[in-house]
Amino acid sequence: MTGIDIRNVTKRFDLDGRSLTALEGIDLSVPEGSFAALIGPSGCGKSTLLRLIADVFAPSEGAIAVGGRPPREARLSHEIGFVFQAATLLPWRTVRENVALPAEIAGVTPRRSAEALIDLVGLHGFENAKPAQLSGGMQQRVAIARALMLEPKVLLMDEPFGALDEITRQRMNVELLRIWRESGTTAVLVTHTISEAVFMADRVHVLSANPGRVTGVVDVDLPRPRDFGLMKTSRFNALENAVRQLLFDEEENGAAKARAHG
Amino acid sequence: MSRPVDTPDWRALPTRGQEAERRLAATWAFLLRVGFGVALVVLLWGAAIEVFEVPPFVAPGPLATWQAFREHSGQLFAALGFTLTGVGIGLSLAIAIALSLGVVFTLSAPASRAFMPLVIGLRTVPVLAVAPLLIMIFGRGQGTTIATVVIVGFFPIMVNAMRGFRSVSPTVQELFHVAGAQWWQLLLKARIPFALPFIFTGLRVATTSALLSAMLAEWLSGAPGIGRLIYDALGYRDMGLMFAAVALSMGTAFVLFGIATAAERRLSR
Repeated sequence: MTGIDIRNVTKRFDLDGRSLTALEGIDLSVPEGSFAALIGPSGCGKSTLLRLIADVFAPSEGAIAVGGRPPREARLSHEIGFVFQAATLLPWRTVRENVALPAEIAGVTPRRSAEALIDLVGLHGFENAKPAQLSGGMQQRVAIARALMLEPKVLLMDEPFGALDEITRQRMNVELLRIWRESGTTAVLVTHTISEAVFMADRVHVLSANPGRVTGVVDVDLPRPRDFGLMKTSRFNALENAVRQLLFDEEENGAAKARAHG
Repeated sequence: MSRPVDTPDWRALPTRGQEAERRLAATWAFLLRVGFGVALVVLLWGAAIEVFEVPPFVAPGPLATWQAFREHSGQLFAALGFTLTGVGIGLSLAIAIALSLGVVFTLSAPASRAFMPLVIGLRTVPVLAVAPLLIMIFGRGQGTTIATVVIVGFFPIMVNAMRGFRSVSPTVQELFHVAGAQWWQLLLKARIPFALPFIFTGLRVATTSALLSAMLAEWLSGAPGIGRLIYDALGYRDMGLMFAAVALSMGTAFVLFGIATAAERRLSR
């Protein structure tokens, strides 16, 4: 039981004495082993939500359970892997040393070697390279390998390919799906690209801004494994439109919950 | 395991040999530039003495200075050694104090608020003004030199180290947090390595002022270093010895600065 359950979560920040509500009344669950996407406009708190799951912040109200346990326990037993928008590699460490960092911090001998993970993300031969010698896409692969080092049950990704060009991003997405399948984790992807959300996820959660609320959910019933050919199908387009509808009609509909079954 | 289609080619990475070659070429270019600069200064100096017919008891030429240097080399290097010992001990203490304070001030906001004004106050006091006090406390020997070097040197190191400790981005801190890191793991594995180039910038600034303040301290305290030697040579109107001592201390300052700069650059790459 390592799904994610978010029950009525509200998060407020104090900014110069003023209270700012980033997220309000979020109800969301991600079944074990599934792939969820969070999509919404800037400022909808999707990154904040990811950080609440990772126990970087604590919610102001409500409760989060990762595998039935509080996020703090999940974090301290290394069940959470996090991939940031920037690769966030330590520039003086080699690829191998960067990937091994979480194991070093935790003081455990991982079941899976750093080399095996570097192979998994397609960087065989780059074990001793420094991050500065790698392209943006390659750096992000290292970050993904690092996030998988301690075999997390939950993989959280905050716009991991947002800084990459379109072509590289699509390739990376296909690879990410392969890695996800092989590692068997529960995955949550924050994105602001509709096609990316539909292509990757089993379920797309649409958020609105100011304050962040869940405005709707789109279940993606496309077959797996997925490839680029899928993007040309009418089914894919229909799902994209369903997400688009939720994103842009939300202003007229207010916070009314819509559930589109495509 | 299926190999991804677009596996990049690692053979395009530069090899160790290529990197070493590039560094060697850069070193030669640097030495050439330095040699050219020194030759130019010596040439201008010699020419000025000749053209303006400066008598040797006012200022000796490069040749006369070289002769004095060879004649008094034992005395000169003994004095320089004494000064450099003070500078070395002083800088080591300054680094230790600066890094300890920097870590404490970075990790604890209350400590920073309580003690930072005190530290800044100590820094803003002119060393010359407290020199008599230092001489009373530490005596007319190496002690005063060391104390002066510490007072002048620790501040730039501490300020830069703190900037470095704080340069760790929020995502790096989140990365360590998610991995369950303790504060000391973040300090050892991220804060200190990220701060190293900053610390060496501070060290470079401190090193240049350290030699100056050590010589100044000797001037006032009478400790037998190269600063005192220059002062005494001037008193005895031994201009050859004085110029040799000045040239030696300038060369030493340049070498110290060069070492600190090279270390800084190596770490900033």
